Amino acid sequence: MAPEPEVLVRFRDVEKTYDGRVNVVDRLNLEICRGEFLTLLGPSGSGKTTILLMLAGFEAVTAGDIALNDRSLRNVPPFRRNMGIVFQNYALFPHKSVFQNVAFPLVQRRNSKSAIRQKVEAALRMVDLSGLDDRRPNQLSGGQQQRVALARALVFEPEIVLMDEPLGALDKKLREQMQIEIKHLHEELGMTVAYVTHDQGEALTMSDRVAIMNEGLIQQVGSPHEVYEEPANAFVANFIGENNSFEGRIESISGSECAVRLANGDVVRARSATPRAKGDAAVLSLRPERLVIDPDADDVANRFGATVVEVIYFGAHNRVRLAMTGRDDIIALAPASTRSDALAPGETVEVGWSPKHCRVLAPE
Amino acid sequence: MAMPVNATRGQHVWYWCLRLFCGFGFVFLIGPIIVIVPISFSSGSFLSYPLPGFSMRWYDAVVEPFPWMFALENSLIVAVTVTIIATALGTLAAYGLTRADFPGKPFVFGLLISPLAVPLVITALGLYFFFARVGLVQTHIGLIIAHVVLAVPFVVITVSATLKGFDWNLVRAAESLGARPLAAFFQVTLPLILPGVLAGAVFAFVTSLDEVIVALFVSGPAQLTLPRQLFTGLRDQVDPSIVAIATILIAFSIALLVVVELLQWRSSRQRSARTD
Amino acid sequence: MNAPAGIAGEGKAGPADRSLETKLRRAERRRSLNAFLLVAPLLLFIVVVFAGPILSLLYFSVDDPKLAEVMPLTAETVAEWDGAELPGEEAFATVVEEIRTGYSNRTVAAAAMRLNYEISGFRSMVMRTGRKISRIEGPPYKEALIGLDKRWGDITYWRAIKASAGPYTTRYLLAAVDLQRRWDGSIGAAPPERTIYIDYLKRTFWISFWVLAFCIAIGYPMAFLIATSEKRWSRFLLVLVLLPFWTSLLVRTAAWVVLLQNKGIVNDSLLYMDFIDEPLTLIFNRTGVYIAMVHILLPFLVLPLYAVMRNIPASQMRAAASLGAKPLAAFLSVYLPQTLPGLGAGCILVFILSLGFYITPALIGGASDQMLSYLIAEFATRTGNWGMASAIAILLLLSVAALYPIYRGLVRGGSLRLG
Repeated sequence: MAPEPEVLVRFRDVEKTYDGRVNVVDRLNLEICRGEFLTLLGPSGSGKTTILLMLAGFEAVTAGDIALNDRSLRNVPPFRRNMGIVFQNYALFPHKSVFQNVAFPLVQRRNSKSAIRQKVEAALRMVDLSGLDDRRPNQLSGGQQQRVALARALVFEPEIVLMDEPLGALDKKLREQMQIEIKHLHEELGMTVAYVTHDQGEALTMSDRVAIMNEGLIQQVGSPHEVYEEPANAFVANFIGENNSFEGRIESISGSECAVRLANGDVVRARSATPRAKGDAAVLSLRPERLVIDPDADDVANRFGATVVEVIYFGAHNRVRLAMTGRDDIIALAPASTRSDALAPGETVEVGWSPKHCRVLAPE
Repeated sequence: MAMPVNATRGQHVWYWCLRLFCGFGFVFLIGPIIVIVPISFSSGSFLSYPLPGFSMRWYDAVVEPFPWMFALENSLIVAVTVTIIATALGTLAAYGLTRADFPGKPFVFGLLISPLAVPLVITALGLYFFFARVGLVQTHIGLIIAHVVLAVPFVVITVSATLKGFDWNLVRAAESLGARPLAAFFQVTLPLILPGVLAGAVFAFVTSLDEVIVALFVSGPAQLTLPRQLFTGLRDQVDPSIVAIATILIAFSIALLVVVELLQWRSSRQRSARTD
Repeated sequence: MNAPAGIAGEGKAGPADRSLETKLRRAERRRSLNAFLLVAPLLLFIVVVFAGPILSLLYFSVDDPKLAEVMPLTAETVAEWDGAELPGEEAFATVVEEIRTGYSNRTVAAAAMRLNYEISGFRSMVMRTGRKISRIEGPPYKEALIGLDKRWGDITYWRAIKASAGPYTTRYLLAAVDLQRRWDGSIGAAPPERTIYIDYLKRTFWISFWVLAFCIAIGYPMAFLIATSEKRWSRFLLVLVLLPFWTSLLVRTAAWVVLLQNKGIVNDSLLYMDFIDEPLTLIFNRTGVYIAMVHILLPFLVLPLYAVMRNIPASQMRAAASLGAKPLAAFLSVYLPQTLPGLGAGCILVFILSLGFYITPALIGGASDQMLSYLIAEFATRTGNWGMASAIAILLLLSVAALYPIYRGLVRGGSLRLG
């Protein structure tokens, strides 16, 4: 049995406003546990960076309180908070060498010369940059700069590491590689990470928990699996991954399953997590990979006829756009196979999905 | 600088000390220029406060034909001519400097802007000796040539800077659409770099209008300019009519500042519009 | 452009490719030539009207034609004389004859003026000799001339003539650094009454140094405030710096004359507020010069500094704080080093500009506050001593030139842009 997680950071009823009218962060209650990798995910302007800045001490909290180890951070200046930060553009000191950059926090903490050398070398080895001690930041590639920033934020063993879109400036391939590396570092060192990103793929790959933000409010907090498979509302469903959504009205309820009648009269059977009443308006969420073409299994309770509109070849899978239930923008991801490769626009097919993969959500 | 969030007591103290200190700095910079303005409207002839009363008598002195209006006329004739010549020569050179490479280009650029680096007295001395031998001392032409030397670097610098941000594909586009090089320059390049050219022209105009050292060396009584008359007046007898002319010049520099700010704003907007 | 180069690089450079290459090179050359032709008019203008005259100062600083023009034979005779003891009868005869002709056609004054640079009083001595030259009717000229004025028997005057014989001389350049060439060719210190130039040089550097120090002390915090303020505030503060920058130098000097007078606004206000009992002397002394020069040069320090500071992202100081640096430590180890290129450029700019100051010290300073520029103007326009004016100009130009490479290095290193 896992031990009870120890809460490191606690946001209690935190609000933030710049103009006194609109709250960019609203009613924030969130706990970050020691050793976990928590990602704040949301579109730009959703308030996630503001949360990080408040935690770091660079933005004032309008209302509520943030506590670290159950001690309020109010009036604690940033330089006494002991948090490592990896900035969006790294904020490496351009006039200092790699070594001096990484040594900076240790110098501030009056570590001995030999301790500094030892710790910096260990940190640089950890991020695979040994031997680049004397380079200046502008002599490094983007990925190397990223690693220096990481080493600098980790070398003084901070309570928590904050990362604000740290991979935003890298190209796709490098970004994916760094995601894995950061994940591995987290697992090896067991540090606590608060990570901000707008890239949902990044959030899903790296995090222990994801907090999805929109318009200053947390929409859902949960493991990557939870937020993907069991979105709490239509925003989460649409924001994370690709999603087919159908609008309709609840016709009957039996246990956790209910029947929803769509606008064109078709009835879809789906699973409802939250209790709903008959006659409520509802939005159905169905992931494209759960929509099966030519289903043969028995548990596919929803079956419809559909016309293929477009097939786009993606190598490992085909992306098929279908016209069905009175719409023509329903997407199915079909694994590459003789059947899906042979599909042609205009062809009529049978499609279906299991009710357990289709969720009933409240309309936005 | 915004007060840091979660500031310590020491930071609070520093924050206010810095503001106070800088406040004095800004007062020091702007105060003298503002404080002399009301004196020009004084009815008395003391150059201090409190003012005995309001009058325009010193402005009446300023609009007398001699010396101020005569000096103003000379200054304007010289400055306008200098602006036209310097802008034309400078723009042409800046265009050549940015359009293609040729051997010794950095040296040529350095030479063209070198009048900025040489102390004015030395330039004045060199020009004085030169003009003395070719008979241009105490002539309008001599003064104009001298001021073009001093003004042209500003045009070269501003126009070159504007051309550096210029998208040469626009010229290629114009030429591919059938425009001859000259037509492409006048219909595409020039309108787009116009803010830079105008800013250079303003710099050139101000340089000439404000120049006194070279004027003291190479010009005579017939080429009396405004700064020279100011210099003489300040050396011999300071009276409020000098303050009145200074006030007019301050109003003029405010107008120029506004013009240049607008030009820079326009060219930066154009640049950002292109990248959007 | 890439395609033809690629083909040639693959080793298939047939005759067709080579002609293409030549064609491309010719086109490139034509473009270069066209570009150069656009620059040529201005280049020619600057070379003729600016570079030429500045270089000619070198020539004027060694040019010494006056005596040789007016008294060519004298110049020739003393040039051959070794200077060890008084020259012979022949030299005296030449001098008498040439003063006689020179005096009658009024050309001797120019030569006398030149001789006066060597020994003051020589001018009047020659002119007096000229007035009485008709009394000498024949040899022996030596006795006759010494009879007219005893000083003709003093060898130092003859050595002065030898030193002025021209056509070229190093005396101006040496004098500009308080040296002189002795009659035997050795170089030594100039007599005390003429050792003023090094003092001027020192004073010029001293004043520039203090102006710079004040500019840094006031300008750095100001630039910092402008660069780190909110946008609309920083625009407003920037205008407060730009307005003086755009205001005529004479207007600003005039403002300080008005403010600093004994019965001026500053003294009146201080008296009114009972800070002082009697007016302070603020004008026609060093204090006034410092105040006005700092006021005029401050924008030249603030603007380049601001340009550099504006480009330092706020995240730099945040990063320093998050890594545990206290505000002062963060400033000293992160912010200050990054502003050094701008600070250096601004410093050199202010220093170079203040080395050449003329108007402000002339109007606000006293006699002991004048700088090298003042000397140049004095020699050129008042005493007409072109050689001395040129020599001091070269001294000033060298001072500036020595600083200029530093400025270029800083500007390039920091990729600085003004405005």
